Amino acid sequence: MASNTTKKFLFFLQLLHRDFYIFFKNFTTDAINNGLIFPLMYAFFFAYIQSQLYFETDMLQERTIMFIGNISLLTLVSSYHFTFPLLFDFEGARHVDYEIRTLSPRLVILEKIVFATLATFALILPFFPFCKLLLQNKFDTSNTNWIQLFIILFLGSLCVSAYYFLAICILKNASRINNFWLRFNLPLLLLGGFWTPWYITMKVFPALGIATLANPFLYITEGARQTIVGGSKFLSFPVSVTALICFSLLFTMLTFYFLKNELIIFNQNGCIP
Amino acid sequence: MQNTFIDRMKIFSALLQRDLKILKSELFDLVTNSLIQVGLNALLFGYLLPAMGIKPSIIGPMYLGIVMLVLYELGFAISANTSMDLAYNRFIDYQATFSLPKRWLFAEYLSMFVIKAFVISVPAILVGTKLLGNRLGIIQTNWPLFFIVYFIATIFLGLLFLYLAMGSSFEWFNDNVWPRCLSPIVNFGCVFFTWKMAYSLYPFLGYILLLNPMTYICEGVRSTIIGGNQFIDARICIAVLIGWSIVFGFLLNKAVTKRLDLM
Repeated sequence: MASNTTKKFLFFLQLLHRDFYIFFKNFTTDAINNGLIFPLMYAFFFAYIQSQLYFETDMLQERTIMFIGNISLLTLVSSYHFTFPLLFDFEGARHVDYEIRTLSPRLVILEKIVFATLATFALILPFFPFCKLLLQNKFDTSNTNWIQLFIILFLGSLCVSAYYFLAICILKNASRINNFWLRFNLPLLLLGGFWTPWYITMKVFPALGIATLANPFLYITEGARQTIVGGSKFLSFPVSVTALICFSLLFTMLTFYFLKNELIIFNQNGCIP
Repeated sequence: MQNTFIDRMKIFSALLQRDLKILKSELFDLVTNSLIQVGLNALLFGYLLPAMGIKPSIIGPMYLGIVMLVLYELGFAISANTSMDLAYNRFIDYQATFSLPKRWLFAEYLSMFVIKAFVISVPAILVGTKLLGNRLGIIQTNWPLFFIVYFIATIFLGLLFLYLAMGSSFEWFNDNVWPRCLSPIVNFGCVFFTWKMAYSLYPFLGYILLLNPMTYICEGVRSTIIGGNQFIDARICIAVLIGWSIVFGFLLNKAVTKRLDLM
């Protein structure tokens, strides 16, 4: 007879399989929206048009640096799509109550983080290669380390997914999503290297630059810039990787902690065998 | 018995009063949100982007374009709430029982959007303009014309967002409205650059951008706040926005009939 741990692991895999089954059912829509429309539009407007209008013709590297920051927005938007249905579920059908009858609440959340990470990564993975195909020599990838870039994108997906689940456990209410976007995501995005790299913030406002080191999104953009452009201007690849892993672990642990209000209390009330 | 105009006005003003009361309770939150947006944009466009080597002439127009996204954000929030209501709560069914034609009901929604947009975003624009000061490169500001452009822009956006909520299912709205509608409108809408800059780079692109009403919102605001001849004239923007508002008013009317009038 299979041990309890094996059973739990099999349930975990079954939930993951279920989520991927739904993911592939919606794959065409997601692939068109996130894999085609967004890269096409961002590449055309931010890397092609905007960079020509904003910078002098010889500033190819600055154009590339500015464009790379778009990945943080794409990661945020893609991950939101796979994580926030849980918040709507808390308020609606509470399908999650059924799930925690089969697996402990922490493992259910862990499964959701794993799924959201993999699904987000699958959607953002083609972004830069696709942009390179479209932009050719207007997107400087002469120093790009593609393997390291994909590692940053994977860890970025993990960090953002864990961050969203933490937000869901704290928000508890869909009516606060707008405030969450404007008061948390927008500042973290704009001060996290979306338009300007970290060294510019350090140059203009050193205190703000140091404060933004506590911003997890910064390590996604800095890591992506370092692996695409290279040089010594950006935070190094190991620093970005370490920071993203630490933030992901921190967010996951905090999610487990805050989760008790939503799921574990339910568990202790005897509703779960 | 048919309701008189006075009766309808009474119901309309009662609905408006109720929404104003709700707005009053949410005002602090909403103003805080818009000030956060404006403050961040002022920091970015006033200090960080110029340090990156961006042309100084683009700072003012780009800032004003992006500030218009406050309206966009507000419109999307209303649109998302309406779409969610149509799918789940159906509060609109209760409102449909009032002896008020549906056009009047949506006119109330629209009036509330315009009031909300003015109350929330105009102070934010004024604060942002003060914060950036000379960096905006203001030549001559025409405030009366600005308020006219802004008023028509809010009416247009109100109609657009109500149409998006009424004309699509909640599932479609949730999955596709940003990538397939709202993002293209923003990106092809001269938010991040001026129309003349785009036209001088690629004339064909300039003609495409003229088809987008967002172009006229951004250019109209730039033209009235910054002034000069580098933007599309505000009077042209007003005329085109009125035209687009009529089109979306018609589309909204059709969508409402299809969605709510089951008879």
